[in-house]
Amino acid sequence: MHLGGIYENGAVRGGIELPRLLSLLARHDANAPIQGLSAVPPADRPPVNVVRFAFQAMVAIGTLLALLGIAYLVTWRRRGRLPRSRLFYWLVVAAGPLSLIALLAGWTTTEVGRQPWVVYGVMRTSTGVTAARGISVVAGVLLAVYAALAVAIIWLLRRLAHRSPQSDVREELRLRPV
Amino acid sequence: MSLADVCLVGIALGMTAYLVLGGADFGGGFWDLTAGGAERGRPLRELVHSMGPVWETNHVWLIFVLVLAWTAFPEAFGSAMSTLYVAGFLAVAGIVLRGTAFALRGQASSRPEARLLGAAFALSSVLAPFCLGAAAGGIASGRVPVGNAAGDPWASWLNPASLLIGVLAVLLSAFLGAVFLTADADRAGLLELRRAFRARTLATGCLAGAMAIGGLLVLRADARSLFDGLTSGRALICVVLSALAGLATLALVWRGRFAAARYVAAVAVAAIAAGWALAQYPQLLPGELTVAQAAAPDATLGALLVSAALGALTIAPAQLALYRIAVTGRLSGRSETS
Repeated sequence: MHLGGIYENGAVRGGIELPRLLSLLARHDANAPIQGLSAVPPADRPPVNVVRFAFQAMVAIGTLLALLGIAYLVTWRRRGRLPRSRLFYWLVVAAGPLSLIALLAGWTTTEVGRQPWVVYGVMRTSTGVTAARGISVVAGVLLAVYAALAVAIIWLLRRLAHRSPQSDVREELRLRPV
Repeated sequence: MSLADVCLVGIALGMTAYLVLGGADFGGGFWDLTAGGAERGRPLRELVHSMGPVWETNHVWLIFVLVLAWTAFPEAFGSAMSTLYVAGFLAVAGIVLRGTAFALRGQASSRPEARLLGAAFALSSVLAPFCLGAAAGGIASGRVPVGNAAGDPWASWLNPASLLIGVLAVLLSAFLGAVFLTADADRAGLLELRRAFRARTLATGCLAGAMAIGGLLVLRADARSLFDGLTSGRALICVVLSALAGLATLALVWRGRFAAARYVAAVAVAAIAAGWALAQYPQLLPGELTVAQAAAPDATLGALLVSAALGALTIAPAQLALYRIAVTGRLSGRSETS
């Protein structure tokens, strides 16, 4: 098993090699054989680096988030207070977007990892795709619609964030029927 | 009755629910669009927006129909979707824009912002039912051949039958919306608005009825097999039932029985969906594919029906509670204390 690195010509270059770990993880036996990519015909292989990078990004972010939780719990149990380092709070701020990236990376792993099949072993993506023309136009318009939505949502969230929460509470109290 | 038939009944029921409940929502948008200038249309728009909580949950029905259709009849679904993709895409764009505009408009702080969001909401409320109706018209008039994008991407939904059914879908939505809003205005004691929506109900009801009857002539010329199906056997019973229920709705609204009118109006619209299904049966894509030919294997259909039933058990209580609030204005059967 390799952490990091790039897949080239059938081997991983530049990663940290951890022998036998994959056998242990997948089969609970350090000596168990693992079927490698070399057993799959080249025409049936997915784009390896995309899958590798996405999967490792997901695992790395997941590990970071778990460590962040542990760091908080340890500080809280041993010192009875919140962590004080600025780094910890920067990481907490980053945890939100990172978790979303991990989610997307996990999705990329399964979807790209299944290629070139759309239904694994049954139907190729190339035979499952629509034959309709102008799909790039549809995709482009859809992209524009969602970009506009993103702008609108950010605008809305900013407006909500600028409003003071106290005024809302007062308004609710005033509106409640007695 | 085969498993495929049961799935077809499920699709027809889901479509009926979407037509009635989703139609009333789209109809609200139609009345928003035609309410006039910002000042004059304000009270009317405020009533439309009071329907708030039911908006958008109705798309559950559309999703239910789509999932049933692609799992139970994959080949027919693939053929219809790849041919009717322009209409389908416009309908989806309308639904997305509508939901967004509705969610955002409460946050608008200036007149132009509110006007832009309001226009997006109202226009997409008309665009979505038209495109869905036009797509249904393409299927019903036999313009979807079997195959991957085998049909014409434009003529399949821009033809006499599709235009008729698309416009009829908008009119029926407007009619249902007006019936529901009349009852809402009546319950809220807003006499001025009740009068306005009562007039709109009567006008759109007459218009939709005339359009449906005149439309039969269009179908006779443009989609003969659909016309023959609609004017014979059990489908004809549905068509007659729909006409009678439509007349009964108008009579009830005329006489001020607004709450009861909602249910009769729903029957009138539901009977149209049932009539279409019966007129086509056993054809799924007319002239191309029957229900039995298009059906997935029984193992798939069985699994689909079991999971659909479990899903219905989960979601039905919440949906019922929501509709109850929307229709009666309160959660339980007891009378309001305030």
